[in-house]
Amino acid sequence: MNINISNYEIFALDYIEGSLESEEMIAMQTFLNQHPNIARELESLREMVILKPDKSISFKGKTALLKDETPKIIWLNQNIASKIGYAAAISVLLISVYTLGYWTAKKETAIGHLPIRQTETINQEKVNDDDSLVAVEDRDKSSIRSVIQSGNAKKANTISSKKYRATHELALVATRDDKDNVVATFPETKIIQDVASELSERQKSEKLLVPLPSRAIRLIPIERNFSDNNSLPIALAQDTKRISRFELDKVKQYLAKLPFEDLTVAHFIPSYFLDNQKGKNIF
Amino acid sequence: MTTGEYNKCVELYADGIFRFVLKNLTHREDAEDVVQQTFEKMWLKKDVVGFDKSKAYLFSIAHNTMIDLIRKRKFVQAYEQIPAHGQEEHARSMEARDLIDQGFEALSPVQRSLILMRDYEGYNYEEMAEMTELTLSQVKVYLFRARKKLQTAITCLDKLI
Repeated sequence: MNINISNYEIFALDYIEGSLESEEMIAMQTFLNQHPNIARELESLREMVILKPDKSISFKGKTALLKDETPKIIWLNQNIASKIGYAAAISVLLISVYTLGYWTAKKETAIGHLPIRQTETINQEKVNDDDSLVAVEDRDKSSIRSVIQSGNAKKANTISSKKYRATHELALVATRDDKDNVVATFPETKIIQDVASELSERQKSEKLLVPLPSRAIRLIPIERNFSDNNSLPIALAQDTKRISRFELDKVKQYLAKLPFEDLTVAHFIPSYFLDNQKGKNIF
Repeated sequence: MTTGEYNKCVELYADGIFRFVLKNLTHREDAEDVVQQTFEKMWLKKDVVGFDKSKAYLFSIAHNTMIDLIRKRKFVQAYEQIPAHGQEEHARSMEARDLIDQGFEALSPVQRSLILMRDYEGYNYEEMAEMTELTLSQVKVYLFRARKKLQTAITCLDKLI
């Protein structure tokens, strides 16, 4: 072990602190005997300043550094995730419908005041469960048609003469009729899309589409006529027989979430309305 | 390291790291930034850093972040007076404290870090070498020179006053 002027600094602190090995200590003492100035310097460091932390100083931003320890919910099922997205879309659209409802209420033309007069009964003989079609009535002044007619009469006729195959996706259309009433119905999505494509941009902005919980109502072939000017624009076909309690409850639950206070099942399920019209007040 | 352990590190070490950085930089906002960056860096590495090594890891990051900051900005010490604590201290103690502070500021950033790691946190030389990425000999030499400089500065300043 050789401690000299070139390397003594490596051992200096250990020497001061008394932690040198015996062999190192001998070498260090030998070196210091040869260099008394350095020996005095090291002696003076035996009383060296030791800094003490000021414990009163603390970091104020601790809260911002902390991480949430709540277990994360991870959606493993893509279907569930898509349903969540679907629910979010519904929420956004419901808010839109509510906005329209509020706007209408201000005009004192509440949806509940819309008369529903059914002049023709459902032709149950034509019902075929395997051929799920919904007809868009092209006669009279249905609300959507009125909107279309105000923009383009020819296109309105074209659209209304079409028949569409129903899909499992139902939707609520809320729009305004020619008397500025809010009119809502559950036509089949494809119809809505086609009708919407025929509307002018201005008219599109007045039309709202709200997806329904899928398969809440089963669609079947039906044609309906509305002779009254204020009748519902598009009739949704419903089971020719009684709607099941389960289905009805689903519809009611859904309607309860809509911003139209006076909107009832009868607005959307004509057959149910008709079945219960005979002296029964179902709402 | 779990999220809970990480949060425990914040509770246990944030103050110490802040004091370590603040003493070195003498600038409160910069010190807060360094602490924040230090914990952010550890959060990113939490899966590979064990809780038992977290303190040394944090001080290592804080040291390196601080050195980077000093080099990057060519740190001009806009000395922000650290609020005086312990006002009951008599005038003589305050003077001694000022002398130490001024002597400490005369050290290089690496020397300051080594002094603080040793005095504030009680790390041994091997640990300090690991944290600062210096050799053991370098740590001992730098620290010895730092002590000597500090002692000399205090003695000189004391004579001037």
